[in-house]
Amino acid sequence: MKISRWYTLSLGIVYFFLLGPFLIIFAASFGAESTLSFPPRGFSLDWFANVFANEQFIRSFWTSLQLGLIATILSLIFGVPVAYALTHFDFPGAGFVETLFSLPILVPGLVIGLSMLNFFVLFGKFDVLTGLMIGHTAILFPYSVRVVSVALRNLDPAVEEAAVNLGANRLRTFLLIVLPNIRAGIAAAFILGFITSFNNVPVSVFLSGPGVNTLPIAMLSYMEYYFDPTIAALSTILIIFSIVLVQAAERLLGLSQFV
Amino acid sequence: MLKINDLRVEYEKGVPTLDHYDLTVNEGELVSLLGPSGCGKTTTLRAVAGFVDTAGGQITISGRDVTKIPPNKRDIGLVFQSYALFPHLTVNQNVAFGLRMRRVTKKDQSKRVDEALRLVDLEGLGERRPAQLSGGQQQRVALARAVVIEPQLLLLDEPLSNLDAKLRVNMRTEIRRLQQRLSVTTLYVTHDQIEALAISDRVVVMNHGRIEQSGTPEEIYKQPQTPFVADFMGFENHFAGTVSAVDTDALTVQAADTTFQASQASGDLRAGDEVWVYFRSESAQLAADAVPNSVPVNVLLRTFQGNAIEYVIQSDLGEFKVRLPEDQVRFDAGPAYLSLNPDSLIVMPK
Ligand SMILES: Nc1ncnc2c1ncn2[C@@H]1O[C@H](COP(=O)(O)OP(=O)(O)OP(=O)(O)O)[C@@H](O)[C@H]1O
Ligand SMILES: [Mg+2]
Repeated sequence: MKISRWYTLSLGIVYFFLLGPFLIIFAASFGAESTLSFPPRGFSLDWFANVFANEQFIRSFWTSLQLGLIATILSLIFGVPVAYALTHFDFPGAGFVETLFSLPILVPGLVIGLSMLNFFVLFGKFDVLTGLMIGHTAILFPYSVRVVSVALRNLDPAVEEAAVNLGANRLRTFLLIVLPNIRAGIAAAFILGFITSFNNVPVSVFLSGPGVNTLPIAMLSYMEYYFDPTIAALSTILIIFSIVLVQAAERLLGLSQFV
Repeated sequence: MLKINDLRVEYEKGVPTLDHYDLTVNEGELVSLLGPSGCGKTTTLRAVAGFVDTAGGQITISGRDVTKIPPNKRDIGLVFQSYALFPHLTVNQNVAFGLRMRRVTKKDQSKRVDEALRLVDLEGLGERRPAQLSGGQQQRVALARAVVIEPQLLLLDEPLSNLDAKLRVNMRTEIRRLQQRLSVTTLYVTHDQIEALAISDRVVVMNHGRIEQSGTPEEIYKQPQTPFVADFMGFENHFAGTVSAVDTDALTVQAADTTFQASQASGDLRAGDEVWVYFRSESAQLAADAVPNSVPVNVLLRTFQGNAIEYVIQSDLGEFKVRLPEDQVRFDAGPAYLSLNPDSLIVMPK
């Protein structure tokens, strides 16, 4: 009896603080007043219209979408072979390499962003979008390596050996046997990577430049000047966008098994 | 057929897991590798399949030296302990995989797959995925997948260890029937003595990366040549003695104050050699009075074991176990005689 009451209570508290803010944003985005307030007074869809009328938002949304997709794909193109090597070969320094790859997870994003900016200033003359792509690929790469490594470790090594024994070379074994069996892991890495890139502020803040913004940066600069529910409306759209994306992936590929 | 010559395998440099390893499997023969966990059975199999590097020696299959040939070009059927079926492929696709790699036409593939599935009694299950099969059925798929490529050599690594006891006995008979029907040369790994004896033409007993003894199941069961094999094959009792006389096919062994006759060819043994004498607990007898080849003992304990009665007895030669048929005269705790038939004694150098 007691336990179940405590359980209910703590669950209630967690939900309150977890979902409360979202509910406020959600409700506020439909308010009729011109400042962000709760509880909202009146009802209006003007702020949603405002979002779509804002050219900055639309342009930076496409930038973020492109950036997210390309950086995630690049991080997988580099990450899958690295994960394969880490799980299949026992080379000296494997442990060190693994730690190295987790650095971008451990180091604060702002520090990474700043270092990358310095690095690009020193060594490269990239345009802004290329810089962003390199930066985002770098922060997504360790996630890709990790998630794909987990998927690879879950595959019985004997399954690969069986394919080799039956006459498949390493490449065919990878394409015909390994890849189909880690596709859920790759999908998980993809979703995780895309969302991480799409939400990233600290790295983007340093690497974005005149005319090229990611959506979160555009939102930040909008908020420097306005405090109306447009941001709430945009957030509501983004939350729904993320939920749909994750749900669809989960339905399609049974992603929950990996994250 | 399969010849392993002076093979050496090291997982860690300088520390051999297999050393001076020689093994021959003749055409159509089923040889099992028997030994305790960690003795190197799987390592031997993996060396033959090409999955572990050799540090020395030579492996030939039908006269072709495969020592340096990569595992995908060895043309060997392999059945894994975990079955290792491809989870994302159907039974048909699993079995067809080896044929696909050999660029067999689609038509021939499906014909041979059907044939192989019929051979293992799995007709009609071709469209299922491995996860939709029982352990025994998965085992059969693994077997079909290995034999469908008509390999020159079939390797099986403890194929039955994941099945329950009853299924194990059925499957081992089936594997043997299949092996004889195809007359495929087979190397079979197990740590189960009974399985090895039941299924093999020849049993190779291994210990610490070396071969202790190789022979027919009967030879291994009845005439172990080393203490390790005797222990492993269930000779529960042994005592130390000295050879006092050798004859053409009999030995006399002196142990404590007793003289024993053993009907065994002397081999390398000579008078004066220190020896171990082994006997099974089922092959000994208890007697109320002294008889030839007997030693006075003290019965310590009697336990009922269904079809047998087991006695724990103490003598000058040590403590022994004796198992007598349940319907024989019973002995109570106290003095008696342990009588040992000369045929049941195995004498080996210490
Ligand atoms: N990949 C490996 N790396 C290092 N040592 C290994 C490796 N595989 C096996 N060994 C060692 O080699 C020895 C022989 O192992 P092996 O797997 O051949 O034994 P086994 O006879 O098959 O035993 P089991 O009955 O338990 O399967 C063991 O001491 C084991 O710890
Ligand atoms: Mg083994």
